[in-house]
Order: sequence, then structure tokens, then C-alpha cells
Amino acid sequence: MAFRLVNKQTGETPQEQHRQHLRRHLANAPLPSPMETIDSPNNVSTIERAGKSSATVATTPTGGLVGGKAGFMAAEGTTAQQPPVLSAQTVTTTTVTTTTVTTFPPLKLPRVRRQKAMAPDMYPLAGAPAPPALERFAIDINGQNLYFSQHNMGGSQSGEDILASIAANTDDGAGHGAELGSAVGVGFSAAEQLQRAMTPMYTQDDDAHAAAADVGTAYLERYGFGRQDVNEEQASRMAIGDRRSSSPPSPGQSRGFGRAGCSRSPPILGGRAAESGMDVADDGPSSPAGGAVSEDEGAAVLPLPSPLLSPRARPEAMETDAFAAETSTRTTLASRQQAMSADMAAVYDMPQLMATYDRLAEPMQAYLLFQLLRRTARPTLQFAAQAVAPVLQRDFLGELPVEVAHHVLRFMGTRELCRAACVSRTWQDVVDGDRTVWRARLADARYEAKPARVHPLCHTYFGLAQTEPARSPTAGRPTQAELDVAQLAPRRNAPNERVVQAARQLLGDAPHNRFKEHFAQCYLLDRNWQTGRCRQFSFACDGGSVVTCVQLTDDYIVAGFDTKNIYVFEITTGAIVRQLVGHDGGVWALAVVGSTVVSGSTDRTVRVWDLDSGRCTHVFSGHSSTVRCLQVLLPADVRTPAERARGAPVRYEPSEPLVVTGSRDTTLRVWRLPSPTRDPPFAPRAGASTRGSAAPIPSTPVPPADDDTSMAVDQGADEEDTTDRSLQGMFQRLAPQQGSEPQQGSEPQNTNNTPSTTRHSAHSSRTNPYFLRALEGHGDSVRAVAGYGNIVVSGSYDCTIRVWDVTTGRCLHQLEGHTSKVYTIVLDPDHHAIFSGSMDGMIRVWNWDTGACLRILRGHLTLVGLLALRHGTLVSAGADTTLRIWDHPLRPAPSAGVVQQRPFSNIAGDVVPYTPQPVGAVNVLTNHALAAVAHQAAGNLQQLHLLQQLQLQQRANDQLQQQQLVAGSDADAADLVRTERFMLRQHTNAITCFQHDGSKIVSGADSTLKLWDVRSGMFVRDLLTNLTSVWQVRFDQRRCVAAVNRNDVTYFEVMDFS
Amino acid sequence: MVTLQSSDKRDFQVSMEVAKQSVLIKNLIDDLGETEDAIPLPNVTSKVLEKVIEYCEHHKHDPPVIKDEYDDLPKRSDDISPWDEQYMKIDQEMLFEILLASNYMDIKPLLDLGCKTVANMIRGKSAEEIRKMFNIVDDFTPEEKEQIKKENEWAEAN
Repeated sequence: MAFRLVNKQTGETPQEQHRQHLRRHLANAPLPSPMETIDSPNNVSTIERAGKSSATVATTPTGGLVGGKAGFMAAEGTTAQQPPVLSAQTVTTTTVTTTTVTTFPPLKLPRVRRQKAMAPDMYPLAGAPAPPALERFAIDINGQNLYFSQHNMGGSQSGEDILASIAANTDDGAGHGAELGSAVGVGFSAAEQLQRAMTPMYTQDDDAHAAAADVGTAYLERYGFGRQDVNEEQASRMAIGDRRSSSPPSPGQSRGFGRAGCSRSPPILGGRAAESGMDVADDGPSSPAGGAVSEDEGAAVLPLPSPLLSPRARPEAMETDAFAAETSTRTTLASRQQAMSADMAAVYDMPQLMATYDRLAEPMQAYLLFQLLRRTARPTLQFAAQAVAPVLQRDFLGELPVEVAHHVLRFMGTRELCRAACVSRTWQDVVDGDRTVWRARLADARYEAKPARVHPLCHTYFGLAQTEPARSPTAGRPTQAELDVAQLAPRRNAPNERVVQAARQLLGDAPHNRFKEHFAQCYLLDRNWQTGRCRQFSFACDGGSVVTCVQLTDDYIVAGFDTKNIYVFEITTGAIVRQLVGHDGGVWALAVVGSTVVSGSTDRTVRVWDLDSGRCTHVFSGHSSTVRCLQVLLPADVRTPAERARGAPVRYEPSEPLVVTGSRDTTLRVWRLPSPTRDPPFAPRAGASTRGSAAPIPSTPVPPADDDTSMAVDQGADEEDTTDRSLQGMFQRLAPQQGSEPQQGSEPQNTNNTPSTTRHSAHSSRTNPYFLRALEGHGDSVRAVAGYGNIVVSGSYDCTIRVWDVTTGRCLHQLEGHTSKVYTIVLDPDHHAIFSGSMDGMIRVWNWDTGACLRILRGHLTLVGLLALRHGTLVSAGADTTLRIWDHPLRPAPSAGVVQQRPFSNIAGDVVPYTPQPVGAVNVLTNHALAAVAHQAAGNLQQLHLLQQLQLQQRANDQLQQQQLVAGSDADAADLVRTERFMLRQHTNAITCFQHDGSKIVSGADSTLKLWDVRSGMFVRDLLTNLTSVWQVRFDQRRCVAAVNRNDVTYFEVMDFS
Repeated sequence: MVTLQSSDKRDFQVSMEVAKQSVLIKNLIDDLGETEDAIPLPNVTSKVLEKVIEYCEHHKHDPPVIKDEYDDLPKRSDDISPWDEQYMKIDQEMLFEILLASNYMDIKPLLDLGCKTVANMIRGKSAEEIRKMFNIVDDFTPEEKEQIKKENEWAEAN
């Protein structure tokens, strides 16, 4: 089929068109301007030429080759009466002889019909419109301007772009394709235009000889010689076996016939008809194309200009043709003529080239294309790149499966994510269409802590803030998304109205993604932290010179002092709203659960307070020395993540709210945690306290617990049945197996194991219904306590850690390994892991089920007094002036086999550089710190002394560790050692306090309060400076409160970042 | 050895450790036992499969990925190793196909790598630049555009 078309076109159309040119030329009717010639109604596209006579044109460099070609042409011309080639050449001749500025009527270059249907996904450019740059252009060749324009024809004609001006064409109503056209006459424009593509072809020919030889295909080699050599070309094509099998019986033959037909029949129409006949006949066998062919043909005939426009011109044209042929054979044409004829030939060849290309097998197409590209100059290469690049681009977010698209988004910064939402509707939908993206982002940003899954009843009993029911105004029933939001945003940490309003304003009024809105609020808050935009005030306080503990609630700051004071300040104003009076000694342990305060003191008592009224409702005595630490345990969902994932039933532990206190008397005591508003008040009988110093119960009587009205008000909608409102009754239901009277029911179980505990319980229960049991075993002060579910872990100055079952009082494990006092304990429920910090400078990681030491985190030079674990990131602070950030030692390295020394991007997507700290490079640290200290405070010998001491101590510790390792006390301890990811070392004195939330650390030491980025280890900035000392610091999402000493006065500094 | 067959019926022989980086294939083999027969991958062409296998070959000694439990680790896209970076120097078409294939074959590290690569292409670009990069038509009306711009400019402010 392709061959037939080629045949038809090359055989005939050129002739006709040539004639038209010739006629106009002979009529010597120059047209005013090149482009005006488009007027002809028959023209669909034009190539015009405005040039001077050929005589003035220089010879073309390809002369030799063209000469050879001309020879072919001439030879053919002599055998055939009107070979198309000849006619083309004739045109050239004509042009050459013209001396006036001539504009030729447009010629149409038919398009090549595609060989096969081209599915858009495989052939993305198949339906592409021509780029503007190719719709019309001019080329200067040999001093002549050749114009090429491509027209998009209206539906009536073909609805197709016309390839070239040269030849009219086309047609196929079906709208496919292109037809092959031969550019008739054209010479100029076609040649010109083709020159772009074809000139390389000619030069290529030289190469092609070699190349073709290499490849063993004669085809490429032949191709350059164009139509003249049709039969040979056909033969060579036929030689390519694979093409042939799928071809109609004898494409080569048909082509040959077509050509013969043309040449034999002078009347062009006749020739055409003959050719048509051939076509049809040929196409008969190849069924699919048959119909299209005839259609194509019919259409092709119509627009041909010459028969319609100037029948009379034909003889002239023929004459000229003949003349030209004669000329070419007998005389040596000027080299320019040869060039022109070569150009024309190239134009003729172009459609054929396309047809040929279509027929090539894919690898061969690649080869040919590669050869073409090799011969293509940079500008055209650029053009090619621009044409190809877009179709190989993919709309990733739009086309990928949505879960993959969402996965992509997780790696993007927030700013990029918002920009992506602005790209297109599809992208907007992918980004904002549901909660997935923004919920994941909230988690990734660590803007929200994992919700504590405490038993719902705890909320009412202890005044815990209820999670906000985030209901949409329209729907009565909250959607899952809204419930998620509610869970994510407990009121306690919610940004205040101001921020919400600001975010609302920014987000506009359109229906939007609630998670996005919430994220935006957090994001804005976070940015204020980063930039230091906050409202700050401070107030002095005379409560005591040392602030031992600070806790924040929504409305209050609760602070304990080394005097017997507990003060409650309004967080917005600093006004003292309560003084919790009762302790008779310094308050060293303090917990706030909702509106319930629990405190431990050097007066050996534990007290429970109602924050709202300021009353002390319960006084527990029993410890025989200072209460140094305490831990409140609320019944919480203790299912593992895996259990939750598979939907295991909720399991709450412990079975009732407890408080565990640790004391210098070496024991821990377990108490029921009473609700100040619902449980009967309790104080030991006078004299029950060893010192007889039990604080008096506040004069105001505590209201009875069965206050139905207040209960009803407080009750949450989703709470369980609370008809039985007694504390015991309520929590019995959590663990029915515990029996109706927990303290009685649980005792028999452990009589065998812990007789001493039983004794204590039995004794104490007579005096205090809230006392459950004592945990005894430590050999020295209990300094730290932590708990989760029924597990309580204590750290002691006896260098050991004990794991207890709080329901039985049994000691499950005694963990030995630290060589000095244990100061701090942190639990990781996900891994059943215990982190302990010790005076020996080590942090040890233990498994609470097995008691095994899993890791040793080594780096601190001395006391590790503070530990905090959030979002899987452990931060430690030491007396060695450093804070250290550790990858979770039980998780695999977050990026195994991955380059770490990269700029780190924070959650906003901004890339911030960081220099990894030299890990374990003790000397570097010390020297650096020494230098810094010496520089900025030369007179402060104390600090120098501290650091020197630390250095010495570290050496001693190292030696000790080495000995231990060698002695095999920790046979494989060396394998357990891990070093920190970041060391934060801008403080110049022991760290006294810090807090971190997984994304930022606020730390206090010496004279400053500093802000750090957890994930990059970067120092962000100083929050406070010029302090004498920092006692305590606490922050929530929007506020930061520090208790400091400035010139011997205690101040509270409040920063509100909302 | 395991034989994988691409959609265009080309067979690829790979070692077990290479094949098992695809959780899809791993599960298949674990469930059905080793088989002589080629495992058909009707959604993956030979060209793409070849590229995917190249990745799995290179990463066959990597430690297995622990999934899900640590999903809250921060995501970053700037931690691509040099080899991976080189591997990802491919056109968008191939990148797209690899994303589809790694998702279908369940090769998480490769999926991550592909996603990071796309994220990095977007990094630092304006919406218009993103459109240009991925040849996307802006189909918002001017009003919509105004609205969506407003909705998202909180992330731009400083």
C-alpha cells in the first residue's frame, strides 16, 4: 500500500504541480508578495518562493552527488516519456532561467498515509498538532527565500494539516493520516523545507554507503538516490525479508508498475487513472486498507490544481519538461541547477522517507532515527527534544494509582505540597481530596503526640480534658475523619482561638480538608516557635528560691517549691489563683492529672488536691522518708500496635487509677488514686504520721462523691455506663477478674511471693483505704519511677533497676549493670523497653519482660540526669553540659545503607545544612567546650574546673567500662554499645531541665534557655538569656513556661507562640 | 533460580534472593513452593522488568525492610545513595513504569526510591513550573485559582 501511494504520488502529482508552476512562470506573471498567493481556493497550504534568478545563485556543495542523481534522472527521462523526476528537474531548470522575482503558487505536499493504526498510548505524538514554529517558515537557499506553510484544513476538505506547500493534497476524509505526496514542482519550497531534513540525507549518502554496508541493508544507501532508482530501491526493500511477509503481494512491483504507467501515459489524468487502477488492484488483497485507499485516491485527485486551473498550460509544461530533460542529458547544467534538482529530489523523497519509515521494524526505526539525529544540528535537535519531551512526561500524581501518589506526597515538603494542590484539579484532589495526605503529614510532623488511650471514665473522674467533639455543622453524626480530628486534637493542646481564626482566614471559606486546616494551625504555631514570634511576659514569685517542679494545664501553671509551697498561676496573666497549702516540707514530686494534683514532699506524705478549689482532699502517709518521685497510672489501653491492628478487644491496665510513689526510704508505695471531687476525703488519724505532722484537712468539707448533677454534666457522650459511680465500682468493671474488692482480692494471690508486701498492705489498709501495697527491695533511695499498664519500674541509688508487677507487688526483675546511681527512668511501651540514665554516664536499654540489657548508649561524660522519649526519639541531658539525641536503639537504623551527610530538610521542606557531630570524639567536645568557656568567661574557673573534672571522670569511666567488658560481666556488651546521632553542646553548664516533643527541644542550663531541632540536631536559638539559672521548663504546643532565677529572684517566664 | 516472565513473554532468570525482594513474588513462592514454571508478571513489560531486576540485583544484600511499625519515621527525600541516584537517571516514562511495577510487585525500597525521585523533581518548584515539568494543563477557572491560591498560601508565608 505504501508503495502504491509512493508510486502514485511520485508518478503523477509532481507532474501536474510542476506544470502549474511552469505555466505561471511562463506567463510571466509575478505575484506581488509571496504569501498572497495563498488566495487560490484550491490551495490548502503553500510554499512560495520569491527569489532572484538562479544565475546568481552559487553552486551547491552537493553538486557531485546531485550530478549523479541528475544522471539517473536523465537516463530515466530518456526511457520514459515523462518521468516524474524529470519533471521535477524541469521545474528547476525553469526556475534557473527566470530572472525576475517570481512567486509561485502554492503547492501542496500530500501526506503519507500511515501504515497502521497508531494507538495514542504507543504513539503519543500521532495526533499532535504541528508546533507553531513549523506552521510557517522561510528558508534562504542559494539566495532564494522559500516559504513553507502548513495549513490546518477545514473539515470539508480533510481536516488535516497539510504538510507542505508544495503539493496539494489530501485528503483522506477518514482523517488519518498522511499521504504521501510528492512535491511537485516545488522545487523551491519543498526543497527548501526538505533541506532541513534532507540535506543531511544527501550528505548522509556518503556515509550511508559505509553505514549501509555495515548493516547489510542496501536500503539506506539507496534511499539517498531517491526515486530515480525506484526499482533498485524496491529490490533492496524486498531484500529485507521481514518487511515483505506482511506486505501485499508485490509492493515493489506495483510501484514499478505505477511508475511505468505514469511515464507511458502523457495525459496526466489518464496516468492517474491508470495508477488508481493499479492501486485498487493491488490493494484488493490487503483487505483493511482497501476502502481507505480508494477514498484517499478520490480525494487526492480533486484538489490537484493543474487540471482545473490550466488545461492549456499542459502542453507547455510538457514541452518544458522535455526540454529540460534534454538539457539535463545533453548539457552540463550549472551546479546550482544540480543543487536545485537535488533539493527538489529531496522534497520528492520526503514523503517517501516517511512511508519508508513507517514500514520499518521498530529496531530499524530506531536505527534510522539515530542516523538522522547524528546528522542533525543543534537547533533541530533542540526542536526534536522539545517535541518529544512533553509526550514522555507523565502526570505522576494524576496518573499513578492514588496510593502511590499519596506515597510520593509524603516525601514532599509542606510548601511543595501546597503548591502541588495548585497545579490542577486532579492534583488538588489527590492532595486535598481526603484525609490521607494531611493525616499522614500530621503524624510525620509530630505535631501531635500519640493520644493516650486512657479509660474514658478517667476523664470525668479526674477532670481530664475531654477530646473535643469536632462535629460538622451539617451532619449530626461525626464522620470518621472528624472523629480522627477530635482524637488528634485534645483540647489541652489545641491552638487557641486566635490561631484557629488566623488559619481559617488563610484557608478561606471554601469547604476544605479538616486535617489540612488542623495541620495549617500546627504549622503556623510551629513557625512561630522557629522564628520566635511570641507574646512574652514574666512575673516574679516569692514562693521559694528553688522551683522543683512545674506542670502546665490549659489554664494554669502548677509549680512546686523547695519550701512547702505549691502555687497555681493563671497562665495568661501570672496571677496566683491558688496556693495549695498543707505540705510541711519541700515539694519534690508533682503530677497533674486533669484537675487533680498529686504531690510528694520531704514531709514524707503524698497529697491529693483539687486544682479547681485548691483543697487538699487526701493525705497519704506511710513513707518514712522524703517522697522523691511519683507516677500516676491511669487505666489505659495497653494493646500492642499489632493487637490494635488486628482489632483485639481493648485491654485496660491497671484496673483502676493508681499512683506509685518512690522514696528515700528505699520503698515504693502503690495507692489508689482518689478523685478529689468524688471520693471521700482521707487523712491519717492524728498520730498515724510518724512525725505527727500530717497537714490539716482544709476546713471546707469535701462534698460527697455521689453528686449526681455534677456527674451528669461531666459525662461524655461516648462514655460507658456510669450508673455505679463509686470509684471502686467503676473500675471493677475494667477488670472483672480482680474481684469486687481489689485490695482484698489481690492479696491472696501474692502472699507466697511477697510476704512483706502483704504485711504492709494488711497493716495499712486498716488505716488508709487507698493504700494498696509497698514495693520493697531496693537497697537505697528510690530516685525514679515510671509505669505502664501493670508494670512499674524503679531506679535507685543502689545502682539497680527493679521491674514490678503493680497488681501483685512482686518484683519481676532486678536489672544490674549500672555502676553508679540511677537517676531517671523512661519506658517505651512499643518495645517493652526501659531506658535508664545513671551517674555512670551510661544510658541502658532493657527489656521489661526478660530483664535483659539490650543496649548501652554511651557518650555522656557523667551523670545522665534527664531522659525523654517522644516519637521514638530519645533525648538525654547530662551534667556534662550536653544534650544528646539518639536514634531509637531498638529500631533499625532509619536509613540503612544511606548517605547521612546530606542537608537535612525540616518538615517545612526547607533544606537546612548540618554538620554531623563527631561521634564519640570526647576530646573534640571537651577541647571545644574548654576553649569556649575560656574565651567567654575567663574568670569562671568553676566551669573550667567542672569540665576538667568531667574529663577525668570520663577516663575513669572508660577504664571501668573496659574492665567490665574484659572481665566478661557483659560478655557481648561491646555489641550493645550505641552512640548518639547528635550532640548538642552549646550549654556551658550542667543541663538542669529540658523537654522535647519529637520535633523540638527546649533546654535550660546556666544562663540560657535554648531551642533545638530534634531531627536535625540544630540549635535554633536562645529563648531566654541573661539568667542566673534555670530551674524548670515546660511547654505545650503553643506555650512555654520557664522557672528561672535572675539576680536571686525567682521569675516565671511565659512565652505564648499562638 | 526463578524465572520471571514479562508481559511481552520474555523470560528472566534471577536468583531467589533477587526475586524475593518483590513481596509479591516472595509470597507466591512461599505459598506455592518453588516452581520451574515462569512466574508471569502481566503488568510489567520486559523493558521495565529488566530495569527492576537491575535494582534488585544491586540491592540483594540489603537488610530486609521492616515495615509498618516504623511508619511514623520522618520521610525525607534527600537520602538517596549515589548508585540509586544514578539508577534513577531515566526519563519520566520509565520512572512512571517503575513506580507502577514496584507497586505491583511490592518492592518497597524501589517504590520509595521512585517516590523520592518524583518528590525531588517537584522540590522548590512553583505550581507553574510543576505543570511545565510534567506537561500538565492548568484546568482551574480564574476564580478557582484565586480560591485555591488563598487556601494554600499559609505554607508560603514566613
